[in-house]
Amino acid sequence: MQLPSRPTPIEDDISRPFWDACRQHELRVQRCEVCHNFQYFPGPICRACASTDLTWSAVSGLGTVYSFVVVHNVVTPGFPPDQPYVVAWIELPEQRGLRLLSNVVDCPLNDVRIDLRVEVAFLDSDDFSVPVFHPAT
Amino acid sequence: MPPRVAAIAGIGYTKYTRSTQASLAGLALEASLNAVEDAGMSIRDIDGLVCYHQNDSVLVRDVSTSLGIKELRWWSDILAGGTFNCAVIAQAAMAIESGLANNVVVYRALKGRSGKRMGRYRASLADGVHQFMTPFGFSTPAEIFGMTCRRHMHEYGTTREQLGRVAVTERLHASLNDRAVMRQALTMEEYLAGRIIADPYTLFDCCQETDGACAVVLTSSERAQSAPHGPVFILGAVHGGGSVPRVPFDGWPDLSISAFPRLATELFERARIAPSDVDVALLYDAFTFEVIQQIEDFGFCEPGEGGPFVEDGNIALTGRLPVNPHGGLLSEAYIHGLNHVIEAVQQLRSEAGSRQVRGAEVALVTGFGFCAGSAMLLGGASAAP
Repeated sequence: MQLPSRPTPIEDDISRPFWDACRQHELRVQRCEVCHNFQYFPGPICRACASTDLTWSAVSGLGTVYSFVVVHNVVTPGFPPDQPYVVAWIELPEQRGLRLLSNVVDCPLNDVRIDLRVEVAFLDSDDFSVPVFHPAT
Repeated sequence: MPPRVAAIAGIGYTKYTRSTQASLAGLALEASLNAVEDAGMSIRDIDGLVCYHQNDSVLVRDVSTSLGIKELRWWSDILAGGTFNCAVIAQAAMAIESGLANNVVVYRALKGRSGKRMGRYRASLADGVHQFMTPFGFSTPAEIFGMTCRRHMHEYGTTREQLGRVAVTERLHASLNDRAVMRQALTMEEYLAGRIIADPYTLFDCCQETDGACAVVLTSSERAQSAPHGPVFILGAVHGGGSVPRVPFDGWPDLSISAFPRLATELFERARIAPSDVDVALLYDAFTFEVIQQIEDFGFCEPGEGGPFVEDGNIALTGRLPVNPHGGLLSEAYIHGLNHVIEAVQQLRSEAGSRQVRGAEVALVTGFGFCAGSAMLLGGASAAP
């Protein structure tokens, strides 16, 4: 799927493995090697135990909608102004409370609801890919 | 010698508009000079200056220069949003109580509509935390805070009509306030027909973007006692956050529970009063739902009962808990919550005219940011330490 020019993530040393994995169509979440806590957004140290021994662990790509908004007043560059879209916090089964911010796609707006089961897909642009979620099959 | 206690002695503000010809510096100076005069002081008395802003305002060093302050002894520019409306008052009080300054001007000036708009400027950022937000079309306050409203609706059945009661009630209050930008009546039908911004939020759930400035003068309580309009005392103040005190609270454990119950408990303990002692509440209302959330968080009702609480008319001027008599950010203006402090002072001085809450002696003021913020309890002249 080709993507219009969404804002390009400005990657840094911490986030690069996440965006690199996305380019491979693989969802990876930062995880602590000491206490095994997943965290998102990523950070320089583990929020749970302050260890700096962090890695990037592949996850199943499944999830449920925890909360969402349907954006009608579109201000973000690259998003067509006449096309409402869904932004959602997606809770992953790998850890209670572990959530990714993403879009719910390929789903009628009225069918999006909390607890909807979803799975990941990737939208590609020229130099990056973003993980989005569609209803689970 | 008893410890020095700070108090509010003066308030000032400009006209609130959607488009001003004035410069930011002009707005800041006008509000500051009005506050100094209101306190019965002259610029020569001022030795402290502090403001909070989002890189969208005029800095303290420029305002100090323009005002002609000769001996600035304590000053601070704080990079923060509306969550700092009470924190900045508390910090000015700390400066006075520690002896760093004697008479401090607190100001907030912004051209939130004709200049840098809060609802727009983050949309093209994609560095730091924004790299996990803007590529998904997630940046505006309505998008970010709409998530908490949705979750509350899911958990407790909070309805659009209950949000609407907040908007309609505050607009009714604003109709009694000459300063308010939005004074024409708003009906529930009009509210429900508002265009969608970020569902669950529609147009009338969102506060305005406006131009204007507010300023507050703090001094010692002794000096405030002889101020022309009398003193307003700080009964207690809190300022803090939860485990993820940044927007958009990534990793927050439960989006139906904010950081404010803890802050509220600390606040009432510090002030040694109970929620039932609050006569008027100036609740930070960037969005309608935030009023409902805070009514619960500050213990005016049980969690989940905030919707029915507003539906039953409790937040009206004559209700159990009059909320935002000035019309709030929703209908008076968006001066980042410092206009809430102005209104609290006017209510406690019994200067609020036809929107006066009868017998208002204790006011709660909040700067709500869900995951972080500040709040304070103010008392009128009868609360002298």
